[in-house]
Amino acid sequence: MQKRLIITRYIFRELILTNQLFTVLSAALIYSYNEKSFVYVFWLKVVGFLFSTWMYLQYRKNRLFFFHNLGVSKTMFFTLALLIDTIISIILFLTVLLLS
Amino acid sequence: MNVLESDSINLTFRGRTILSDIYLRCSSGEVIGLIGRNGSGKSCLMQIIFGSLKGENQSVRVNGRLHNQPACKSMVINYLPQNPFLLDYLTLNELIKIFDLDPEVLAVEELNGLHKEKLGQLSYGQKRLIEIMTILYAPAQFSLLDEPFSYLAPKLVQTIVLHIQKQSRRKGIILSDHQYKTVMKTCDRFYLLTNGALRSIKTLSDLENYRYINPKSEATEDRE
Repeated sequence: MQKRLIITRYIFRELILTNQLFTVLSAALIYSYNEKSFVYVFWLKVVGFLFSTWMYLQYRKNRLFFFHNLGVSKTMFFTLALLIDTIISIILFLTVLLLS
Repeated sequence: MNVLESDSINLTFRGRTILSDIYLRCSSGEVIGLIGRNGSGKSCLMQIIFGSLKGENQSVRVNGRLHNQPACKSMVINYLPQNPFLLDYLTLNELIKIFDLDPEVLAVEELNGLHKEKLGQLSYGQKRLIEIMTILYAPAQFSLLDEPFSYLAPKLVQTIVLHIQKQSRRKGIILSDHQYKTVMKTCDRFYLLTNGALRSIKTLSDLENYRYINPKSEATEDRE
């Protein structure tokens, strides 16, 4: 269990940090326009995640072998990254929505 | 004794046949060497066996059991890629924990004083040595090493050869490199990958016959 948590932390650090730029931008949109911005936020997040994935595959592809050697396949890596990103985004957006 | 068998490995890239019906067998206690020209498909073959690359048709079996999921998921096989793959912000101590490395790795003399250093702060040679030790001392039954000797000083190569031989007592190892003389000294069996097929090599003259080395330049090198 502890090992899984550590691997999840590495995945977060590898991919999600870049994606946080898009998350912060989306949070700013929600803060300014509330519910009206949801459609734009959704697409911004989709583009952000695809961009981060593309960047990773272009410039850090070899680091996937680190995760493969720990038993994490490419599909599992990106699925887990998407899941973590979605959870973080939802929590952040709900907080921003309550504050605005 | 564990046995890794991979057969019917085929790979075509842009109409060019890279691998054609390859069969390779490796048992624990064995070191198998692969050599071949650049672009001959050595790395592709290793990645197909590892499971990170999908060939057109392949069967990878460990102890007769077919792997219906990529080998990389089951952690039975591990793989050292050609280029650095470890995360720069980790230390050797963290790698030991996360990869469940054999505590014997702590006794490796060349790693003394590097346990708490972040990998990103080390030289290429030190970092590569840590990568090789991570793969060799991890509990996987088979290790695939892609160019473990490239860009390393001769003394470091000798150290790595010793550790490969030591670890081969408990696991099967397949390695590829362009330093064919070192590969020949290290391995029990030795293959040349040429025109998509594996050719068994017994002597240096076999390499000349397959035109992997030029007899004249080889003779010059020996005189020097």
